[in-house]
Amino acid sequence: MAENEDVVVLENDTLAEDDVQDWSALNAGVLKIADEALPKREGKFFDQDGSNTQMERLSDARNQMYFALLHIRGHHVKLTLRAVWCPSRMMALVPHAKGSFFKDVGVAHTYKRKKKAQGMWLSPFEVVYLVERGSLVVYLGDDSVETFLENEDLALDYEPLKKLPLSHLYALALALDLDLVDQYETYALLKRLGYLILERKVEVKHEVVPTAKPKASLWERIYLSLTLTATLLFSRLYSALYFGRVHFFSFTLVYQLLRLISTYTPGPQEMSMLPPLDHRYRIMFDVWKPSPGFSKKNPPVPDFQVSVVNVSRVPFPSISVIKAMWGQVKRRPTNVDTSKSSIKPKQSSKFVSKRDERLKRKAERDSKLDPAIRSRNDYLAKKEKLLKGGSTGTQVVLAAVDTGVINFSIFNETEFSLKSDATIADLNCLESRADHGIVWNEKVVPLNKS
Amino acid sequence: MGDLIPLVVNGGSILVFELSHVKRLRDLGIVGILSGTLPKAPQQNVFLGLPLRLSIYEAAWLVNQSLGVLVDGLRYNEQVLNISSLKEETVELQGGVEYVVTEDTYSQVDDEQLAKICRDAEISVDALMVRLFGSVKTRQHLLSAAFNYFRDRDYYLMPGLRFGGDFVAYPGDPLKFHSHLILKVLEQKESFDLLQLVTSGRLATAVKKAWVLVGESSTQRNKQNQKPSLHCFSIEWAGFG
Repeated sequence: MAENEDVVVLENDTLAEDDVQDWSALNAGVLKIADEALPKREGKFFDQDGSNTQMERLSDARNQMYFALLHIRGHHVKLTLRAVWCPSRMMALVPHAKGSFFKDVGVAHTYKRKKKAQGMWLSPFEVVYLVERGSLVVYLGDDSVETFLENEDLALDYEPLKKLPLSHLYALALALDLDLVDQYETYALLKRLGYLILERKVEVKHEVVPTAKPKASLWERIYLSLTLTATLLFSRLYSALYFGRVHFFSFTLVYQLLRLISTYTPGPQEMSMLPPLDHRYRIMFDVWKPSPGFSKKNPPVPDFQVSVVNVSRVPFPSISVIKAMWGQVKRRPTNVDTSKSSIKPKQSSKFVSKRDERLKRKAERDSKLDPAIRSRNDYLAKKEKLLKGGSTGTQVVLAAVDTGVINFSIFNETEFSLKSDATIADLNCLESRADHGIVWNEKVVPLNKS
Repeated sequence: MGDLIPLVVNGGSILVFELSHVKRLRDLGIVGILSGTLPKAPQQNVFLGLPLRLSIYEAAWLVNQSLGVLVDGLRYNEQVLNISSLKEETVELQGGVEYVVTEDTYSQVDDEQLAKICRDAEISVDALMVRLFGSVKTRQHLLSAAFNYFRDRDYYLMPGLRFGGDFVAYPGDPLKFHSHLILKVLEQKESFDLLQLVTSGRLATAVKKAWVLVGESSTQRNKQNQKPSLHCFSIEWAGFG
């Protein structure tokens, strides 16, 4: 469950009261370029009472907000980072990339004739994000940029170029498509939360793995079907003779009759039948929790895969759309144990995260328990996690945007019968059982509709 | 004309980049959503900064009241670029530390010239509606009518996504007031099921609001451009027993 608690995006968005914002504390203290401490929330009024006090408090709150908005959008002159927007390429070039932003931002450009310099191409989302937070200044590029890419000059001459304000950059970078600003806002929100994000450039195509299930031999199947029909006939005849009507001998039969949808077991054959994904729901971003070993050239399988829709234009996805979205999900190879992280934690670090503390306390509690109870708890916790968080790891995040307000939903693939091979293996190593599912599964003769 | 607030259209979004305009809008009861990263605290999502994002309904209200004008972002900025003066690249703050900065907009632009540019780059509300929603847009017209209806009654409106409605209505500036109503706009003959009545009613009551259904009254409108007359019903979860 600890993994779920890391999903800050979900916790941010609850049915709680509206955001109670108090901008004043944000402005308190020394004027710093980036102030990380967040102010506490202050109460709001429930209704207008026409009093001066109320009006004063409101005007004070507004002024504090305006003051915070007035703050400069910039960074220390010693760390100056510049970029040039190239309208023909719809990208921005950072001629000399330095600093910590490029871990998940930009595509490296190697100059043909400049050995020592390292350029970086930024996508529209990336350049707007960096400029908006004040970490980059951007100029409107002209032909000199293309020349610079080819020649031997080490520095680009910014003098003749015009510096772009944020408004013009938005117009250049985010105006080509109706949804770009929505997508950018989602990107920026996740970046601000500290996630590592790459844009999904191409659609994922899964190779259809032919089903390799051993089939029962022909004779076996004939025999099975014959015995089934025989028992069915017998039971029908029996109840018809003795009671004149269909009779239920056990609750299971009643449940089976009531069951509208049969339990679902995900498997490779499912993937091949997927409909193509409606373009509006395509997966836009691959998102990772922050990790020190991340490489944007060779990224691991994403922790979240996010699709962005505007609620006023795109309806809530149907089950077939959700399934098609699952078809676009990058998956972990099934034979790799994901629980073992390849990155070793730093030994020297004295910092203990809340999560580590929680885990430590839990381990202490557990050590006092009977081993049998402990293993049973582990089993139940694992099972609950599979049922709630998805048993296959197939998961998409849908970011629904309504004029700047973003709401995240996660669609997991799960199975109530817990019958897929991976799940059975997972659960059997904790507690061996014939059936792990939560679906009542007594073996009885199926009942025909009558 | 010089007083019109330029509402910059980029793709499907309507944005305001200038703080003085944000102040004016707020005084007019149009709050929008601050959607940009706040440079003062760039690693959090509670307090966001410029640009201010407006809904199409807020923009339509402003245009109808002759307070604002929708302009195409690219055409507008390209023209402003030609008449603007460049500011210094760096700014010195307290203690003599210099910062390289990006402005929100081009500065020191002559009002008259700006008005001319606004006229030149203007987009009509209808054109933007068509761009966003296609030609059939009865629902959007109704949403717009509902927005105007509540704004004219001095409610402040925000997007309804947080509470599963079309709008959330506040008795005063959302900065200092809790909201009262979750608005759900229904088209004529549009039905909703009882389950929705229960879930939305319960949700609204749980967050101390009323769920309000807004619909066009059944009397037929004679002309297309005539204002629809609206009927509203508020629903509260009684929670007996």
